[in-house]
Amino acid sequence: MLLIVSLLKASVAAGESGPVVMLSGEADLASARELSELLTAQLAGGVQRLMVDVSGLRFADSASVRALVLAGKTLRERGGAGRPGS
Amino acid sequence: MKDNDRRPDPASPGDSAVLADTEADMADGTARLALDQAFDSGTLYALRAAVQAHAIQEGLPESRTDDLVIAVHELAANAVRHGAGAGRLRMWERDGALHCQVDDGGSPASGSQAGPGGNMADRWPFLQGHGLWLVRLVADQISVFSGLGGTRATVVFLPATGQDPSVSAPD
Repeated sequence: MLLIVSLLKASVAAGESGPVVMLSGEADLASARELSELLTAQLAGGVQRLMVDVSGLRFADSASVRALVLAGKTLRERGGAGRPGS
Repeated sequence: MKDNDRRPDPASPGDSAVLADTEADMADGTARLALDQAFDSGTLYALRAAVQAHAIQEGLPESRTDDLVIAVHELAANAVRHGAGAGRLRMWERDGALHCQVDDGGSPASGSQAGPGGNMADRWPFLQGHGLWLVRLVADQISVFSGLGGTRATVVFLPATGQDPSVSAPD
């Protein structure tokens, strides 16, 4: 049986066209603010493209999805592209 | 969100019958408590793990177990965000259906925690909250009731056959 023990882990790497945020573990209400701050920090400096790799995420709740959607909205408003990838 | 009844109605065993609350279900001896766990913001992950394990133990199919975990988590997250910051989950089985009831522990008696609004009805914002929208997508039935003791939400996951338990075992 799969046992759920750990919480959200995040790392950032430099991609060819912008930062790549890799998420793993579980994203929920308790980590939503942290996730939002991480994404906001990566969007600083006029970044036009942000890749978020969620393939390692076992769980994401509506608060976490909201943080991702808002980051995408911010990028679209500045004419860039934000999309979840896997 | 069509049913706030918390007592079974023998005359019409429909939604209201299966959405009976814990106390009513336990009292008539047809239900078996599977899990009773308190939670707060920092222990939602443990709540999810416990719900997942018990749902599997109760024989819920894997895909429905995922749905159940999502539903309970979103209800618990609402309790944390809009209630007293903590809550209690009770999960029980009745006639093959799994019932999960979340209480937000909110109480007007603890006025300092109730917030300046004080209006019980808008404690869990339905229209703005994507969490409850999600719960309604995955749960077979949902009931939310706000009263003096806070907000109580109950979701029901029916057996895999899709059979209505209130039809096969009326009582």
